[in-house]
Amino acid sequence: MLNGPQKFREQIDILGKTFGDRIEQVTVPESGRTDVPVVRVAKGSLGGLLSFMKTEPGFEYSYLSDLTATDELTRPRFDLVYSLYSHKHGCRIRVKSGIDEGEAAPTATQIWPGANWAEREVWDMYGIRFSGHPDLRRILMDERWQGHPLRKDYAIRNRQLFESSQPVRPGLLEEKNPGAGTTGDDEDIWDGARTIVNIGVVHPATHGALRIVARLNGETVEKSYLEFGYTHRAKEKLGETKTYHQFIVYTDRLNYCSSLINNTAYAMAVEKLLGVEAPPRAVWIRMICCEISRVIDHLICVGINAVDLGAFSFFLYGYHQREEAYTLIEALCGARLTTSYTRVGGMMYDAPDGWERRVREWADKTRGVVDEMDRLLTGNKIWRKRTEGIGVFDREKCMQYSYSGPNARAAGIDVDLRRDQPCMYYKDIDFDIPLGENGDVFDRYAVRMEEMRESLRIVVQCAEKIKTGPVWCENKMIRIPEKDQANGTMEGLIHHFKIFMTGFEVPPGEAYTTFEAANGELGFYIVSKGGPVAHRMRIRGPSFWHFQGLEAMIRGHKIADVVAALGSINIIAGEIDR
Amino acid sequence: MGLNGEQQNKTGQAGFLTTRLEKFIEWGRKNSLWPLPHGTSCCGIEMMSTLAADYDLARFGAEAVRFSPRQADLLIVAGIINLKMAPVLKSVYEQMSDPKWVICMGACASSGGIFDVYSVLQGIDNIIPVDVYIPGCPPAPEGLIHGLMRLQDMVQAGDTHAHRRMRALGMRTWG
Repeated sequence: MLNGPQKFREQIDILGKTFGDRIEQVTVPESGRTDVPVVRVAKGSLGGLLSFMKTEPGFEYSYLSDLTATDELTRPRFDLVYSLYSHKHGCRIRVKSGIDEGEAAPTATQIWPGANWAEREVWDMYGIRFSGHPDLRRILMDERWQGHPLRKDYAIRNRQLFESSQPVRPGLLEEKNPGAGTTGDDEDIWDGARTIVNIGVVHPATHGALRIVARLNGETVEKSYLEFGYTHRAKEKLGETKTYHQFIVYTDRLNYCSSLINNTAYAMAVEKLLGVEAPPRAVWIRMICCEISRVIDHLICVGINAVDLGAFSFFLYGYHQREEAYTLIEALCGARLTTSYTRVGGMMYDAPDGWERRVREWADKTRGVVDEMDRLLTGNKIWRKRTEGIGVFDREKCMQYSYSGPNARAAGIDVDLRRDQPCMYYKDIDFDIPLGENGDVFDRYAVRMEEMRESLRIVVQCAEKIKTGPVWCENKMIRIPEKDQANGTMEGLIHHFKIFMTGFEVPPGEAYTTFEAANGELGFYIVSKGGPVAHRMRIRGPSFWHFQGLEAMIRGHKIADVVAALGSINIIAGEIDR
Repeated sequence: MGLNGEQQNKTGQAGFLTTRLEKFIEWGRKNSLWPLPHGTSCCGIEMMSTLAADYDLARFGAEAVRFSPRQADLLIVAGIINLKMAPVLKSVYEQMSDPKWVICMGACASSGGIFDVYSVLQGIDNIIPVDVYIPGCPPAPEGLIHGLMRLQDMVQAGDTHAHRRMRALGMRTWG
């Protein structure tokens, strides 16, 4: 729960006393330009302020939600943006710092090891260097790429094709301290010899286009590095060129296993900037959609995780139920996967007659299937041996690497944005948040199984509470006219034309909207400078942060367990690469 | 082709069939396509649906999914191919042995789709020859099955890029 303006005023007073005039500006939500307080700090004090905020009692913003930049085309040219979240106080804050072209920013990797990849992305996309960063290479684009695509002066169709794929870099797998991994090990039967194995980009166990390069001692992974960007589709750049309405289709293709959740989170983000609210029926439909999507996302995650470890029939049970869910979704919007069902301020269509009843029937049946799957696999000796104690990621590491969602809850971190920062009508719904203990592959599996049952509970409650009513808000500026109005009246036709050709205006401001997606915290950070197109459309995909932890997760494990660990954190390439 | 039900002995007694060796081999090939699923994004999920029990691609003899290009003869490119991936796709294709076929599934792989941006290859036919394009974003499983059946017709007729390439080199297409 956001602790209100009182808390922030106290915090800002303390910051003023501690940092004095190094705090350049504080923007508060009351100004109407932002959703949470924004603290702008001089570049030299950035590192100090961040570590102060992380540890100081009363602040404890120990969770780095997001790290990104914006291109302002003024002096200083770029703004670094750190979105912080305090689990303890349940509040958010943003820290900004201006930085000019050619300057280096201080790295935050000492404060949060998880900042590593985010900083690499900022370097890749904006060309901002971070001093003290351990490994500042390109991350999404090819290493040979020229230019930085998210800069405003980079043309959106400026393509560069290479003859060969990005080479393996064995140098990255060498120990900084030679001999550290080889001496003093009596069981080192390989006499110091090591093999470098490349897994991916095309490999059955990589769940999309990813690459793991590992240095092996026998079968044990000593060190590895991860590579992705093989499905990068420039969605953030597209967000800066398409209107808010046009961008809805691109949100489908983030986490394509649960696109309705992305649709909903995006619609909420734009609605927050506009200051409009969707009507109750639309919100209830969105909630049902989100929970159905969560179930089918988890079904695919646990199913594929089991396939990778040899339990194929388990996957088929779940997959049939997915097909049934797709039938429900098709009834709503005509599409199975890429739904584009929400609109800013409403929904594309109302749900058809009797849909709520079909949802309840599906939920009952799916509960039975989940129970059946549970009986099939959970007690299985082989499954438990392959998953218990494997890929352990404890609370501390989860916090360091900004883990969220089921992967964090498997380690016992009691966080769920549906409860902690309630949006829609989640506070009227009764549901539990399952927690694990050890944070191993088995706990991640068990948490997902339990979450499916909770989601089905939510679905049934929503289907009972939903009432008939409009699915569009009354605001004529953003509401798309009905077809009969567009075809039958002059006013409706003009209005329809305006919305589709030029889009609707969004007032200047910025907001970081989060929602508990199937994988964790999905965030949209939208900066508007007025007009129908966003100035910055940042997407915070949970998989990006989860994948980063894999290197630490698999170190010291056998190569076969890498597959188990990778499957259990549910990596969706569309969400990492964006 | 003589290899069909009409000529079978309706009394159930043993009979015999006549056909040309070339046709017989193509008949065998089309009914045992071994796909290499190059699924990168959304289309990959629909391809998984097609392979799972509800749509069951095994009915068309194409369930033996192989992730090694050396063991596969049908490359299903399902999903986005961007410029970082393009050389990888090309080398995967080159590692497959002839005769080999390519199904291009979905708008991204066919033309770049809605992603006309700096990072996306505008159609895989810029780098490898494609036999069947399946429209859709993503195509439903029925679409993929339809595309596979059209490819089977083309293989039977000997009218694919691989066949033409082999004929142009003066090779026999049937082994």
